Amino acid sequence: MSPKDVDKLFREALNEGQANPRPEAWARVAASLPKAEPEAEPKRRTLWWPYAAAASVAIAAVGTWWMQAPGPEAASNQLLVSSNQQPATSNQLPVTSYQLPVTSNQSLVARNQQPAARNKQPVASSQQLVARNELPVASNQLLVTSYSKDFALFDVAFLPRMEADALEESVPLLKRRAVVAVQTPALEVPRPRYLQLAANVQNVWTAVQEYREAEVPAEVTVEVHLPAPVLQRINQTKMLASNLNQSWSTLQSRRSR
Amino acid sequence: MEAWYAHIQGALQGRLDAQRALYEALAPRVLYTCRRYFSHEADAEDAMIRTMTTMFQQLPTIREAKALPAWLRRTAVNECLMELRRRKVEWVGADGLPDAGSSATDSLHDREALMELLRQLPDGYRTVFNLYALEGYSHAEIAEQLGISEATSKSQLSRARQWMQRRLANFDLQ
Repeated sequence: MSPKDVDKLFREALNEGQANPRPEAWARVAASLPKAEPEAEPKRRTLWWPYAAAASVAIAAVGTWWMQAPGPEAASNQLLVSSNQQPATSNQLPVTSYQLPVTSNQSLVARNQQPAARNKQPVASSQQLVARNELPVASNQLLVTSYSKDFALFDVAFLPRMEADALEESVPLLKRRAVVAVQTPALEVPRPRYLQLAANVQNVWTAVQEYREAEVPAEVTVEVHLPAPVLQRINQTKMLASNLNQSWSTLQSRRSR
Repeated sequence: MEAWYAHIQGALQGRLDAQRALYEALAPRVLYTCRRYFSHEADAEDAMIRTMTTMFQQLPTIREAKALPAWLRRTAVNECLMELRRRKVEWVGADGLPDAGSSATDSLHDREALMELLRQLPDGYRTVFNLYALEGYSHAEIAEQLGISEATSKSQLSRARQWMQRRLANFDLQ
């Protein structure tokens, strides 16, 4: 038998064939097989109607409040003014730099278009404010209405934020006719801003409290009056936010259960 | 189309039943190839398991399913060669050949007897003979695969053939 015959013999006999492996071999192969992704568990059916009902109630509540609550324009023409409680007499009222005559029973509205703190002119205590006698208001009645435009230009309009230091710096300049004006939101201010307003009012109030506790002339007292619509809007907003938050918490707790 | 072909899709999807069916259809061929390279069954089985594991890992990348048996055979041979290289096959001379007169085989026409005859060869002889006579490699390719010279490949093949010839002559005499 030649060498090539040997090759041919083995090639023909052994080139193709089968040998059954031991059964244990499969276990070793299976141990290294890529596992099939487990079938995802069927999603638990979510009850959507409680969420829909809650959303409907919330939308209805917001809509009702939106339609019934007074708009910002109702509040924008009311200004928060705080001042000393000293009755403004004719000789105590500031004389305007524009030489506008004022009377004792006319409320004063600041109209100085330059920041009071930046006013370089040494002003006397009676010359601090510019009088604008459009509405006859008692001198000790500090809630002035219908002057939003004037107060928009007023420098001591402490919104959106007034710190205690700012108040302390500003009020002495105003001397005895200390006026703290909090301008109510303008027309374009969105209603959610009332939440911010509430926080800002709290800041103002804190500032006033701190101012009171500071060294202040005895005759000067500062009061902050919030217009009723503003207060109402703030309370409504806070209540609505509280209710929505509570509803959301309830839904979350139910869902977690 | 062969039966194993129907299980490829299931194996690709990771279904264990399809993977086992594919294994049971193809593993015997792989084991048969591996047995030609090792004298011990356990070594052949290890090479078969590595080959089948590689197949399941590479199955998504095999474009032509019809070419799977040929791919498996190449992979099996490579696995065997890797193991032999790892063991550092001793390329023995003529002195290392077993006694050509002692044979337990019964018939030259018995394929299993020829397999046993082949497995009695030293690793170096058997490997070169397998690659040259059954896989169709050239000596240059064998030399490259095994990291030996072509001369070594030729001498190993020559000695393996001579030993086979003597064994086959003994069979003829019986």
